[in-house]
Amino acid sequence: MSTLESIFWHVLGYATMPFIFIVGYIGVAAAALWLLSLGVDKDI
Amino acid sequence: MNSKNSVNRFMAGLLIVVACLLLPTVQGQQADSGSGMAKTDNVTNGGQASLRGLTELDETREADLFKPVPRDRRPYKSDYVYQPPLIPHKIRDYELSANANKCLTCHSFKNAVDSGATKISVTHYESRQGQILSDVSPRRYFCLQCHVVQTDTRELISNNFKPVDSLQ
Amino acid sequence: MTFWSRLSRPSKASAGVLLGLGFVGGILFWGAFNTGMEATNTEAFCSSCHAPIVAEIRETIHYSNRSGVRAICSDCHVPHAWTDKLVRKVQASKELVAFALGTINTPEKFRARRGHLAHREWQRMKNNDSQECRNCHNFDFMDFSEQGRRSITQHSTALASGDKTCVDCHKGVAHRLPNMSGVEGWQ
Ligand code: HEC
Ligand code: HEC
Ligand code: HEC
Ligand code: HEC
Ligand code: HEC
Ligand code: HEC
Repeated sequence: MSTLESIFWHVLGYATMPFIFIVGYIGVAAAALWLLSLGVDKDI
Repeated sequence: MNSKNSVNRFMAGLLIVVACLLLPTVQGQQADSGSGMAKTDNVTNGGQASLRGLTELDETREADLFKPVPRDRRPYKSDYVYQPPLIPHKIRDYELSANANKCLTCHSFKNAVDSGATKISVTHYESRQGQILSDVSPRRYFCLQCHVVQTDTRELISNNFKPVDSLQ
Repeated sequence: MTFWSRLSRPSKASAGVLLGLGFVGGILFWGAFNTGMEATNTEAFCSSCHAPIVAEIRETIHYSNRSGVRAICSDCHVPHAWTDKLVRKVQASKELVAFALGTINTPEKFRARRGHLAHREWQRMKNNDSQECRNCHNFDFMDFSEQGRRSITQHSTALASGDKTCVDCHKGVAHRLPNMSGVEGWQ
């Protein structure tokens, strides 16, 4: 692997973690809001 | 139109019926010839016992256990001059192919000093005409043609083989 | 009502319910994440693209040995430390591209490219001091009195001093080798 390639993959690799967490957060939030919208939050 | 269709259908049905009738006979023939081949009443090996014991020709003998290969030890003594020495170490998974020769990673002239292995002798560089080549001769490339590991086992038949006088 | 305005406004649900939703959601997310990581670590997964290699490993000591411990693909090819693991997994996404391009989808293409791939793998292991090997084979616990004579000579010198790392000397421990001409130490 060339240095450039290595830097590229490391940046991409480390960027993945926050990305996964944010996507996970959004997913969980969407599911939770949907659940709430069925019940207590129907009229918001 | 319609009548042509029904003729076709009739022919197709006929073919299937014929095929069904023929199939068992074909199979029957095959089965017959098969059992004919397997008849071996009169085949014996004539009571001939070999190193593998006495086994009839139509039997499959149970395989022996693998012989244990001793792990690394000091080289074995030779029994005669110009004997390819036995390999005194394990060689499991050592790749020996057109792609790679694991033996030479230790035994070649270049690597022998670092690895502490016995250097292959110059005979391994000789062509069939006795010319010394600059690299291992193709006829000496596949080491296991001549060198084998010794297994820790008793001799197959007792014998009184002795090394030549000079090596005793 | 849009997602964002919902998210930024207080809910009518009690704090307990909200926390509970977050808690359960978190567990589910983590479970799914881990299952994904595990599933892409199995040999069955690798073999979907690397079938010829999976067949080769069967004869080697890392598949069958007297103690019955075996190494699977990810033991040697995927780091354990989880940041490194993630980096490697992301890198491996390029294998998907290579797969789509069909770089190794026939025996001939694989043979032609194998040397290149092996070099990459050796380089990777050289760079991390053969960390994957060391996850199972720890130098500190190697009992020289139990090792062969040749092993002791090499391990107590070049390995102990850190001059060389496992893959410098142990190439092809789990696979057939590519053409080795030109590789250091080989003919
Ligand atoms: C890791 C290095 C290494 C590899 C690989 C290796 N050997 Fe050896 N071999 C040695 C060493 C070291 C000795 C010498 C042992 C001693 O002298 O105590 C030796 C000894 C021998 C001997 C005995 C030499 C003598 O003088 O009696 C033969 C024959 C031999 N090896 C053949 C082979 C073959 C064939 C292969 C490949 C299948 C092979 N070796 C692979 C290190 C190696
Ligand atoms: C055609 C048979 C043949 C092949 C193939 C062969 N050898 Fe030999 N080897 C011999 C014979 C015969 C001797 C003993 C005579 C001599 O030293 O030349 C020997 C000797 C040796 C010795 C001991 C040398 C010494 O100085 O004591 C080593 C080590 C050795 N071979 C290793 C190898 C390796 C490694 C290979 C594969 C690259 C190999 N041999 C291939 C026949 C063969
Ligand atoms: C989608 C198919 C696919 C799957 C699944 C897959 N691979 Fe690969 N892999 C490839 C392809 C294609 C290449 C060749 C890359 C190239 O040509 O550059 C490759 C290359 C490799 C290499 C060579 C080194 C490198 O840096 O490219 C290794 C090691 C490897 N794979 C290991 C694995 C392991 C371990 C697994 C299982 C966890 C796995 N692969 C799963 C398709 C796959
Ligand atoms: C014991 C550790 C180990 C295990 C287990 C292992 N590999 Fe490897 N792999 C290596 C090493 C080391 C290399 C570098 C080339 C070599 O030395 O053979 C490699 C190279 C490769 C390559 C690059 C091409 C090549 O053949 O050199 C691929 C692809 C690969 N491995 C896939 C796999 C797959 C798939 C599995 C699971 C069946 C697996 N590996 C299991 C250690 C291992
Ligand atoms: C999952 C754990 C694991 C990993 C990772 C692993 N090994 Fe092993 N290795 C083993 C086991 C288990 C054995 C067999 C022990 C036995 O029964 O003798 C073994 C045996 C070996 C042997 C002895 C071969 C022989 O013929 O005696 C070597 C050399 C070796 N491994 C090198 C490596 C290298 C190099 C790597 C890294 C690329 C590696 N191993 C990665 C578990 C592992
Ligand atoms: C300087 C070269 C060298 C390095 C570096 C090296 N080895 Fe070895 N190793 C050898 C040799 C030579 C042998 C004995 C011949 C063989 O089995 O191929 C050996 C044998 C072994 C064996 C089998 C031991 C026995 O005698 O049963 C294991 C396991 C092993 N090595 C693991 C490792 C691991 C793990 C590393 C990295 C931490 C490593 N080696 C680094 C040269 C090396």
